[in-house]
Amino acid sequence: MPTLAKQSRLHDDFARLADTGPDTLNRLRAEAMRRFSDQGFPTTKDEPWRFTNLRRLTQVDWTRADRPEQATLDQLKATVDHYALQDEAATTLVFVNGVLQEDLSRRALPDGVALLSLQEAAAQDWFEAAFTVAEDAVVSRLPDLNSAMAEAATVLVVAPDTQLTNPLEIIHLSCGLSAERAVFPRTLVLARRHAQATVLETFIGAGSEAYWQNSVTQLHLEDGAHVTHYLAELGTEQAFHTHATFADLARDGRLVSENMLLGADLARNDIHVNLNGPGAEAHINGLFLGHARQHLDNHIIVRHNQPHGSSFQNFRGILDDQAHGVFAGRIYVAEDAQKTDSAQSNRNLLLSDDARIDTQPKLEIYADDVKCAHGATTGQLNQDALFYLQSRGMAPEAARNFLIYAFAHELIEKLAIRELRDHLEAVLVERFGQDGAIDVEA
Amino acid sequence: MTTSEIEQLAKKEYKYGFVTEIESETFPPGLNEDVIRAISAKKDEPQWLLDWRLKAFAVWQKMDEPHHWPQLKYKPTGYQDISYYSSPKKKDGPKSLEEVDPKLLETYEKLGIPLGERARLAGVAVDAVFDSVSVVTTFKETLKKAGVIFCPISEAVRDYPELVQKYLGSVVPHSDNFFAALNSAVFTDGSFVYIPKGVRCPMELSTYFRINEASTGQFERTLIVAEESSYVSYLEGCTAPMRDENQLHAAVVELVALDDAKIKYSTVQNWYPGDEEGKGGIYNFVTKRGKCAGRNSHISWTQVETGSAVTWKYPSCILQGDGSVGEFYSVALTNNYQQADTGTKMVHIGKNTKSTIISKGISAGKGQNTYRGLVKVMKGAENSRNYTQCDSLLIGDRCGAHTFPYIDVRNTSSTVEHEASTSKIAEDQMFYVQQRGLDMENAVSLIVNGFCKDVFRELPMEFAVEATKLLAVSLEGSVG
Repeated sequence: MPTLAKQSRLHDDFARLADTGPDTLNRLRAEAMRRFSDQGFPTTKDEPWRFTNLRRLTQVDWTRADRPEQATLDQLKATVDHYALQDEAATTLVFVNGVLQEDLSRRALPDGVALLSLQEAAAQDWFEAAFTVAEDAVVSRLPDLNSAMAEAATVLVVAPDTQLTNPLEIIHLSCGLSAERAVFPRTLVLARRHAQATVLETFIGAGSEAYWQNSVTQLHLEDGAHVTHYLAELGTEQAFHTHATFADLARDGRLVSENMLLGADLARNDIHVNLNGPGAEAHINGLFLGHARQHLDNHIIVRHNQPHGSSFQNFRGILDDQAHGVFAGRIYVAEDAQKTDSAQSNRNLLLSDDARIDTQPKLEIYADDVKCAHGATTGQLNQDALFYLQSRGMAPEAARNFLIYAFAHELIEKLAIRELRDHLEAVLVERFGQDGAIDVEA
Repeated sequence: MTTSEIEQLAKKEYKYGFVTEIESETFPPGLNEDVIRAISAKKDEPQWLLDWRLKAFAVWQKMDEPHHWPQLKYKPTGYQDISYYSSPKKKDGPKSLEEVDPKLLETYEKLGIPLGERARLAGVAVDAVFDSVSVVTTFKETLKKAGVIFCPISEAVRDYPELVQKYLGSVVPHSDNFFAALNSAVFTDGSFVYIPKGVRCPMELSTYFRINEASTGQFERTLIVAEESSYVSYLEGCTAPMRDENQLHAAVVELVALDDAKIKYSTVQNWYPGDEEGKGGIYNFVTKRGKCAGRNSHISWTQVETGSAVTWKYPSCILQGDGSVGEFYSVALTNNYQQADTGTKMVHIGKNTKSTIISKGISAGKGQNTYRGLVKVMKGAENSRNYTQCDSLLIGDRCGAHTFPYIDVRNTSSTVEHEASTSKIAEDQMFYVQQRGLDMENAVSLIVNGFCKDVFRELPMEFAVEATKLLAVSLEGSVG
């Protein structure tokens, strides 16, 4: 088991942070650090990490990323603008190396939304329950490290019956200007009864050094709340990004989780959804586009703890070069979660003989009156479809591009945010287009 | 159906629970190098086999029992508390049925094994394994004419050492996994089958396994080699007496199919599953693997698993030869407190290889049924195809059905498909069948048999009949 022997600098960073917050926070941080130190990083011997080896990450003596200097920030402004939503009315919070940048952000909050700092949130009575990550020997290790190390957090409280029209955008930028720097972004959304909100989290990077983002997002949906959460991993291809989203849904809560893994050298995206109230509903979709030597891992667990819940997972992967994709989805239906309706689908396209996909659509069912189905396919482009397009006068490359585009587009077109769609399409064209770009207009 | 009727049915005792009292020679419990040497000496084995056993034992000592990944909860076996050798006391092997201990024959009678004349009529050659030493082998003569070797593995070690040495451990190495290593160290008997080039085995080969001695783990080792263009169908069926403590069974089966050969391996497993409180029952930890070593070779596994308290079993195919085909058809049923973690592995190495997986899991009572399967397509396995379908049927609201497929694809020209569904018996199906005059029990039985039809079709006829009955018996009392 890898210990923290190599992470002495993180320990020092933690020691500096340990007593700086309110008591509750200090205690939770200490507990989380103790758990992480006891258990260390997960290894490929741990079943949920079988296909993702963190050895390269654990070899590095990470330290907390520095506060960016003003000159750096000025340089980064263009990058941020490139990814930020164009709509002036949108709320955009920009964190650079884990620090909120007022100049780059648009902090005008819509009515009914409160933005709290981690310290402010720690004073609330709900904080401990909302901040604590359910203990699980394997799954909660990296989130524990985040709990211990997160210096700041975005805590959004959406008041009851508030219906937000514009997305709340959070951009996490890591600048890889110095080597061996880690950041621990933390987001907590509390959607009160019947509130509706959309949160977009974009993870980006700059510079040429490898950085590590170990992020956690917690979504708490009270009765009837609707939350749409976008996660866009668009970091540099030297980056390590380990992310975990935890969502708890109360009665009739509705979660839409859209996940896009495009960037990073190694990206791991854990999504844990608990349907804790009857009638809760979760839609979890994902698209991972891997090329070069990227390793993109999606790990989803949906727990149906109450009856009449429904959940739908739809993930698609396109892998080229020597990229390695992983999809591990699990539907868990507890003993009394009758009338559960649940489906899971993972389709993958391999474009190179060196690319690799591991897919595990899992079902774990302890109730009998349920409808659960899953399916997974891995294959190449359909030869009949290619032939058909060519018979209609399309060049072979164009036909190939066209089909790749169509494969991904079924997910892309459902995204409500235009900037995101545009960005995904651009990446698609750039990565997989052969002999001329994929004709987006076709 | 009334509750009392259901309860009565549920109380139905295990049909095959009885112990035959025969004087037997049993080693004291415990396992160390001396025990292995003693087993080897008893069997009069050559040095290379003893060395191999000791090597396996050394590896086993360093291994941990797999606990974290299988979806199983059980009390681990005390490996030092069981005896590793037990044989009915008989100095020389009997030449004919008359020489066999009449008590043994009675046991077979109760089990309904077609031996002697019955065997001839049934057209089945039985290598009946009673505890760990083969007592009777029938139809040797007929098989000999065809050139087929079908004998206990200890005999094969004596008579065909070069064949055994060549293939033993070639598919399941001595260090493969915890249970396979244990088996390699202490296996006492099992069957050896060799089908020469171009021969179609004239009859279906069958071995009945039976665990009889209290606290005796049974470590069978089966090795089947099919030479070029040969064909063999092998049947394996099991029953075991009723007993309260858990019994361990860790068998290894190795199949080797060379060019154009086909091996069909069918299992009906009906060991004691424990009582309705979950007490007792057999632990069944089996490693079964076939290697399609030659071009266009074909290995087909069919299993009906209704017994055992805990089943841990993944009959696999290594599709090494170009154009080879692997198949896996399974029905696994868990009732009361039974647990099964079973499935297959299909490893595509050769070009144009094909595999089909059809798995049907049925859970009733408090049973936990897990399908765990791996489909791995290596880079060189161009144009490979896999189709997987695993369906689960839940009967009752306290049981579990789990599906854990692992799919690993490393080239672009292959196609892998996986489908699964989980459901309970539909009300309208039940209504329809019942209004045609069937009672509830028969209606369930009919629907379950329909659910399993794809697998039963693959079984040899005698087995198909038995399997249908077994399923009905195993499900008794689980509906209402």
